[in-house]
Amino acid sequence: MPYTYQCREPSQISEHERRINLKVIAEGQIMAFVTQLVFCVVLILYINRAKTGKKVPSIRRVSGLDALDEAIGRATEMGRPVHFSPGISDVNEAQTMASMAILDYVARKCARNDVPLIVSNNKVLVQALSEEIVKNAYMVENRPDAFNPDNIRFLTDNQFGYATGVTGIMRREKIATNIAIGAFWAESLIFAQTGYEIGAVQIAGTANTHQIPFFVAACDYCLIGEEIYAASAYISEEPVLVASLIVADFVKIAMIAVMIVGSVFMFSGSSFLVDLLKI
Amino acid sequence: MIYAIAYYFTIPVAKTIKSTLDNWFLIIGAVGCMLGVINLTRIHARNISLKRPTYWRSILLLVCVYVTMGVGVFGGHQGPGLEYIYNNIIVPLDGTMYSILVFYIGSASYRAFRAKNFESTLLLVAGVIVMLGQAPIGAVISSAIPKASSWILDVPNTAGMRGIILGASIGAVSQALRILLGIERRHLGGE
Repeated sequence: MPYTYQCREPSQISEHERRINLKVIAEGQIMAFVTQLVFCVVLILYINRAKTGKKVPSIRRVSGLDALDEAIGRATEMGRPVHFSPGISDVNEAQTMASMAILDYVARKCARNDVPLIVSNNKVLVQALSEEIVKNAYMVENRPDAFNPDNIRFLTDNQFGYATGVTGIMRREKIATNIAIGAFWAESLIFAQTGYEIGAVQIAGTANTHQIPFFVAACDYCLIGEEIYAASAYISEEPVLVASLIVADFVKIAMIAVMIVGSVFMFSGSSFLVDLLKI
Repeated sequence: MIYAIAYYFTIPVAKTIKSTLDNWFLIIGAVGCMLGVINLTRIHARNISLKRPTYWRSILLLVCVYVTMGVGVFGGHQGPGLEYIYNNIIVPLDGTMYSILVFYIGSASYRAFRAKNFESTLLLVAGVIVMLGQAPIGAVISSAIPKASSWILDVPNTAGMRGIILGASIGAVSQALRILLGIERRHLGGE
């Protein structure tokens, strides 16, 4: 890699540059870093508390996640497949990782109930990951013979090509249940409407706010925003994972408090809190 | 962890490692593309060999995949062949699928806007006001309609959206910490 060296007298270096060069933490990120650090420390403390067997508050019921068993049970009774779509983002997207945790649960249920599970993927790395997750789920349930690698399908990484492929699979395979959880954009309504037209039970979820209304309008159950990240803890009911949800709720309450205090400051003509958060 | 360090700290080594990891991700993604082609070929070749009911679709798909790949490999990824395929096949097909959304939105909103209870009635009234406010006829009926439409979009709608974004962002951070601390292993097939 070529390097360029520049020699300047100290008097030519501005005060602003001098301050930036001395900073270890990137400019404007101090408060974000402190918040993240506090979040992390509280999370570790709460996890340790859960590990020592102390009581962890319960979390509210999420109807979309409660409905997973019912939806897979319906597919079992009808003898028709379950379809799973993890969205169109890659593995570096938090929503896709949340979706993979739900896929693991769905695959185990399908293996236990002997229901075919079709997973349609838009990204090759998600394809590789989902294939491993489903294969592992069938192994854990002692049904390796029932695992069909042809049901874990890579369609295309083109958005509307993927939408076309998924709607084709949903109609051709006459799926009984459609689970679409992950990062979705314009294809969300295409999936949801196709599922509605073929009479499938639909559970959808995304944190992309502009797509949530489509899922709410066209699906039977909808996981809204953070609910998809809570799925893993909710399904497993492990105190350690539930503790992390409780900490996230604490942070949310703190954020709301900061917003209220910030509004009071702004109404009183002071930008103190805003300036503090910009450090 | 390296990404977090590179984001918060001005440590040159962390930034170099992050940049290297970014390149690795791109390379793995590019190589992984072959996995996708292999998966498609395996599934559709089996459809053809078993002469399943719609095997001719599989033939069509494989022809399209390999012809496009051949044009790209031999004619260059910015060559006229690939450009022709992109402009005359992919773009119109994308546009067609996107335009189908209009009908889907109509059908979904018809179901969502049925006044069955208080909430759905509220949704119906808000939807009608917003739709009228966005169309020229709204201002003709009353000058209050565009104002009410803007208020609905700017105040309750934005507040709700920001609430969801806030919750989702904290949820994502919480999940990232669970993965970093190794207590979340379901995506790896663990408990």
